[in-house]
Amino acid sequence: MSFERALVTGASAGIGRAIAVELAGRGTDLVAVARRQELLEELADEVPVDVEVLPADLASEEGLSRVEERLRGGDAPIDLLVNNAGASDMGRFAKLDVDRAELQIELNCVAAVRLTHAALPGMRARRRGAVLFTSSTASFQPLPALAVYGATKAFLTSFGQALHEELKSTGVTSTVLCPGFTDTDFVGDAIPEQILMDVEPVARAAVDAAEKGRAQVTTGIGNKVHAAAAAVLPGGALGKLAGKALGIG
Amino acid sequence: MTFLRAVVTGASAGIGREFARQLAQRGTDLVLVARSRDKLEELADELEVAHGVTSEVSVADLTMPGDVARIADRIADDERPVDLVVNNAGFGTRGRFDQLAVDRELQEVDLNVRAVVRLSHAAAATMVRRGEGGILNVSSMAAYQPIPYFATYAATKAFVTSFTQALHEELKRTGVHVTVLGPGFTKTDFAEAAGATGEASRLPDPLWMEPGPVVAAGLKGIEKNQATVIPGWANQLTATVADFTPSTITRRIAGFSRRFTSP
Repeated sequence: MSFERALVTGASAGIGRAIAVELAGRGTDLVAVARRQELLEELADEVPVDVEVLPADLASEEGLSRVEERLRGGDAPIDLLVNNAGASDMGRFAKLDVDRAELQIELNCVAAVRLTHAALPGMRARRRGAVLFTSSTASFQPLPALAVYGATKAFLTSFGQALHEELKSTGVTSTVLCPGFTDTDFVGDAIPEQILMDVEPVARAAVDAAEKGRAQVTTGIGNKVHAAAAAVLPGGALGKLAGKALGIG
Repeated sequence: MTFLRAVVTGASAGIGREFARQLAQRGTDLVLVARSRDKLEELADELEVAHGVTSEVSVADLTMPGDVARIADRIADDERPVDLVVNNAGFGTRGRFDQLAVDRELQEVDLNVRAVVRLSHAAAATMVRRGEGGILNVSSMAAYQPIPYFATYAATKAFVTSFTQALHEELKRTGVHVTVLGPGFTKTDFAEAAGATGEASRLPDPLWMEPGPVVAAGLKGIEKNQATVIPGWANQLTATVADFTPSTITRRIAGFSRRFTSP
């Protein structure tokens, strides 16, 4: 199924923007959500499709309600919701600001749950639609130094896959995208260039998987190996390796 | 490691009450946290008479940020130090996600995830400074695979297990023990509260455990600083199989199990 109109959160940068551009290339109109209006306007100017610019902070009640409202109503129904906005904070949990930890829960989990809940009834009624969650290979094992971030992604992978099963034979699908380290501002300079993946192929794989209604897509050969290892190794073993790699634990 | 004073959330019933009882039996004083003052006071009296321990009763609704902050402050209080925090309070909702009330789903995330992170943070910061203590987070077997019609619940438990295992690695060599307990079907009011009693009664008997051995396994685990404790052989088998099975297959098994979990 190709999509008529997609709402993409975190559309101003990184994977979210790349997914928006990829969708536009396939003729899908967009509702672009992020905090920074000027970046959304830039995106709108760049792509050849109709773009509604919807600036909103998904960590705020007001911003979330506005996006929920757009998902529930409007003359042009949304047939793809891309829950992509997210935050992360690296460091030892005990020393991190707990409000930053909570912000990750707000953005990565709560916003995704609320927006999905707002989008599904309309999609089910029309028997047409899809939800795409940007999770991460971080969801495959506990991640020391990214304890909350990894956990929010474990939440999303579990949630998106359960929905995929719940939605069988409704005409609506749920897809979990698990990119590894991708070359975006999100990772900054923390990750060596050799293991970074360009953002365009990630976006292409994500949209392909959503169009096919696949439950999960892991991008990149290295990450597929990682996913396979995570599947056959006890969770604790990979967590220990991750801790060693990051110099913690 | 013997604990002097433990905070137990969700102490008024089920696994939480059993934690309070077994800790009291070992001489640990308690800070009992739950919504129901009557039940907590009754339990506090029982524990004092039976084991001579002192219990503070702390009435709190941990879906409310103000109440969570109050318990976090209590955990960080150096005047009356707490050296064990048992994050046990939690609930599950069953049904088609899009038909469940979203406010209840969000409360589930608030209680099962947000409160656990906030209280773990208060505990970790305080205990690392003191060089000792324990954080025991009660997760669930639901952490090991997605569960249709329990989508949010399983996701919150995937969070708690991942988070606690990562914290265990981070706090190695600080003297602070961190353990996640993953009970399976336990004879408590949980299924009733989630509206799943009919399904629960159809499950084969070996899958069911009494709270007693579940809690005993958890306490043994935190004393030895085990990262993960799965109580009971049937659950250990399930967790091992889930760990060694590709997620494409566990998801389908979960999909197959819809016939048990679907409303």
